[in-house]
Amino acid sequence: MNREQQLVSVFVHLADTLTTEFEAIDLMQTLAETSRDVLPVEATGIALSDPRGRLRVLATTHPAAELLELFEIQNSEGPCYDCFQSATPIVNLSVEESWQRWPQFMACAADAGYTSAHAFPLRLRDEVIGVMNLFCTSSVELPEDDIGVAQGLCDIATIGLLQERAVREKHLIAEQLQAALNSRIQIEQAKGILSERLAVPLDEAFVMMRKHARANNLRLADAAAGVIQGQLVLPVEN
Amino acid sequence: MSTSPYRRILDSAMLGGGDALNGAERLCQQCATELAVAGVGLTITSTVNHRPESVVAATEGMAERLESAQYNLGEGPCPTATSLGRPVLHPHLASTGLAAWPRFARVALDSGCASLFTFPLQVGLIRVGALTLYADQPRSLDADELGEALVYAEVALALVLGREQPGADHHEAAELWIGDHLEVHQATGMVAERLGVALVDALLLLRAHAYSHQRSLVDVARDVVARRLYLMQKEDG
Repeated sequence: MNREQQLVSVFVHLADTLTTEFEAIDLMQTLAETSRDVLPVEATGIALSDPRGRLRVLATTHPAAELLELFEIQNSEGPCYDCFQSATPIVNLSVEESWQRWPQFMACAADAGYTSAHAFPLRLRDEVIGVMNLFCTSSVELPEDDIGVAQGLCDIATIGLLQERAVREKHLIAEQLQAALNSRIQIEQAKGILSERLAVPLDEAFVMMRKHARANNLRLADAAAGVIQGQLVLPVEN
Repeated sequence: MSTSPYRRILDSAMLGGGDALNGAERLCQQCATELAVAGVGLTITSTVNHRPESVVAATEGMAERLESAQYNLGEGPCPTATSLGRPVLHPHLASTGLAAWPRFARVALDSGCASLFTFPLQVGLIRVGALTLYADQPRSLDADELGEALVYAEVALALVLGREQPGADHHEAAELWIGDHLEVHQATGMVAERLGVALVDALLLLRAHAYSHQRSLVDVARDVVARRLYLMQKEDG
């Protein structure tokens, strides 16, 4: 698929998912993976801000572990932090400036093999509800077109999270965001169980669960609940 | 050095000693005062069907009455929040309550409750109950109040789960704040599966290990995830 086809497929997927079976977490995962696929970046993560202004990871591409650490460090310094504070994209900073602004973050990123990072806001009207972080193994600048695509994907993520463009009720937004954050935790618990049960790495456990959820038209969080409650027995893939 | 909201609320609830139950009573009282609501209640729910099992604590009057009502009727914001795994917020109960809980909402409105905000005590699929704020005027919680209420729910969860001992070093209790680190949840799953215990018991084992070895929960979790550490069912010390 070329890039246009991939993007169209994301839009179609979004339209599909805006039904009662819709699940924010699964859409976030799709958007993280699509961003990584269509943009010249090696890894992506999407985080939400909780009511206390802390960034909480909702989805990452694999390998997840190193990205978790890169997000955690950004609660006080980094492109995500700057993006969240300023409500604007943080893109194409020079290597020198990046190291100057975010010494700890850049050191952590370098350890994981990344030389540059960009961050885009998930915006609802005048509020930033989260951030998409892109990680690159080169320091080549992101072209103008790609910047537009990245922000467009973020806007889709925001619509997806809130399920309705016209959501006005702040309390409904709060409920949905908290639900997504708790779903993430539920999925991590299930990953741990599966990983131990089947002796597979955590990322692989996630892929298996997601495959099963899709094949059986289940929400990811419900598949996770099934694993936890012992009702869902996944086969070992050969 | 500023104190985290979690630690401040925990310290405050445990001030004056007593056991976790006393702490829960104080927590409800402080929450009601700080967020300026008519009352606050804390109920434990069944892990099987999420129905209220017991009212742990409630401020006098409205909260006491309405926590009991949920228990008696088997319906209300508490079981809803616990089964859905998210807060249940009704800033205008008169317009939205009856559709949600025909019997409970009637009792609530008759008792003078105009809005309510329920926060599940939860960590993923570990769901033990809920904390409810009852107000006698229609109102919303702004972002700060919402954030505050969520911390109260986290502390309430710690009290219900951990039975924080009076006189315990609160610095350590604060370190045992479950927090935002996803590795803790991965480790919880792994320990649950390995030892054949429920998720909640796995989490308690992780906490007990962290506490007795003077380590943070996330460090212990990382060791478990990396398979550098295997927990036993019975911990020494």
